[in-house]
Amino acid sequence: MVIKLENINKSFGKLKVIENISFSLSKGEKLVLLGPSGCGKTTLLRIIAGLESFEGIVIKNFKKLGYVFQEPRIIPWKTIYKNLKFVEENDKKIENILKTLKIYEFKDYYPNKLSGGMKQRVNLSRALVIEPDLLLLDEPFASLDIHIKWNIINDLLNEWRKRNFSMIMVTHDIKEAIMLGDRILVLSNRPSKIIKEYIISEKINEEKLTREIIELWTHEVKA
Amino acid sequence: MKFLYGILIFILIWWVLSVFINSLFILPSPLTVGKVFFEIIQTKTLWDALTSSIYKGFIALILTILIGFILGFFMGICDFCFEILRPILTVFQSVPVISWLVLVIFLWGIGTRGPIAITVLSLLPNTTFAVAYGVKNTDKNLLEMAKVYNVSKKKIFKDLYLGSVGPFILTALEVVSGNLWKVIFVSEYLCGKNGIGVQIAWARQYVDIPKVYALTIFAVVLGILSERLSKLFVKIFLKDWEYGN
Ligand SMILES: Nc1ncnc2c1ncn2[C@@H]1O[C@H](COP(=O)(O)OP(=O)(O)O)[C@@H](O)[C@H]1O
Ligand SMILES: [Mg+2]
Repeated sequence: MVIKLENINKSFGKLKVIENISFSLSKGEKLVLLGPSGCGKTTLLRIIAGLESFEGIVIKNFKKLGYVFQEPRIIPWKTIYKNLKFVEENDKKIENILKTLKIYEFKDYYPNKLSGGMKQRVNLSRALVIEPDLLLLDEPFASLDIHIKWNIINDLLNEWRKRNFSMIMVTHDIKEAIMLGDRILVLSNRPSKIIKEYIISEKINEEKLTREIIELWTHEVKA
Repeated sequence: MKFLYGILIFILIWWVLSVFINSLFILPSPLTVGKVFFEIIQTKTLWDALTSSIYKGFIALILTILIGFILGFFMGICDFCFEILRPILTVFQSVPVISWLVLVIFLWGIGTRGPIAITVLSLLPNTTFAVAYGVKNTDKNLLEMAKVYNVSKKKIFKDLYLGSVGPFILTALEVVSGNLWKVIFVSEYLCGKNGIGVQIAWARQYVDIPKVYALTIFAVVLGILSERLSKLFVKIFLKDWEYGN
């Protein structure tokens, strides 16, 4: 077990954002939390990262945490290389991860010269360079072209196969969830609660699953 | 080139006006002043005075930046400090040089410390505010990112706070270097023992108007030179922040 959440509740003032969420994550597992926009996904990741107060219990059993933020959060006055150097001293590790994510040749670029896809690659490589035991990903591929999205996910999976860390990704994109997850927890509209769990196998019928999830969300809105 | 034409036109107007006014005490002709100018730049007195002024300017600049940085940094990270210090600095900002004079003369009499203190006091508020706003403007998202990755305090200070204060400091430096000499000369004039300001005071005492003008030209040249120099300095340093363009 890498992390375990028990009965997590969270409100911002009167706004209830998270309701009774519990789950646990085993080592090497890729978990996706799939929920509609504004349901509280970012808040949940922030709770896990220790950036937000909450009610309930979080049991942490990992050393290093990598966090791919929803916004790139790159230091604008530093080159890509120096941005990674900010979190990791080891030059060899920095070079390797930049090569894995195919941005090594841009290592001396300033962030404002980069496209959105490249910024996300930097955001991701900063999370990976520290060799995390748990990697949090907050809609990391939203707003990227489908082929760029695929490419980055592939590079990420290559690194995962090498190092076998655990991942929690949150997204509202069903396709993305199926692409990456071993297990999907479907979240309701705000306040988020877990309304369904899917184990993803090779033989999964993507279309059927997509229809089912959309159905779930629509019903939930009516209720 | 345009700069030169500007100066030529300026001298021409000056010359015409001096012919019309025709009084050595109000407006001596450019030629008279020029002669005096070339006379005085050959005297040791002038260069000693200049050394003294530059020395004071340099010390004042360093003190201003040092104190401004420390105060500004704390004002930036601590809202309470900001609220406490803001009114004090705002008052300082509007105290006329002449009022500091009373205090300074009472404390140290005529000498070197007075002009330095007055200069620091008049330049400090702007510098401090610049640093404080720079620190306050440090991106909260980046600070949070640093926290998640357990980045050391030292690195956060150097790479995040200094990085975002940088551009503010450089603009402050430009403003300060533009005003530095004016304040230095005035305070020398009022309570200095030597320096360009003191030279002007003496020339005035002996009603040597051409010399006052010649010294003024000298001061103007010094001001322009130091502004150019600081712009160059800023440009070199801004390389680190060139992401902005
Ligand atoms: N610091 C905060 N203060 C008040 N409300 C917040 C705060 N952070 C998020 N919220 C609100 O909580 C809800 C969930 O936000 P978020 O977790 O960002 O959703 P998601 O990431 O799923 O789009 C939103 O309605 C948002 O406006
Ligand atoms: Mg979000």
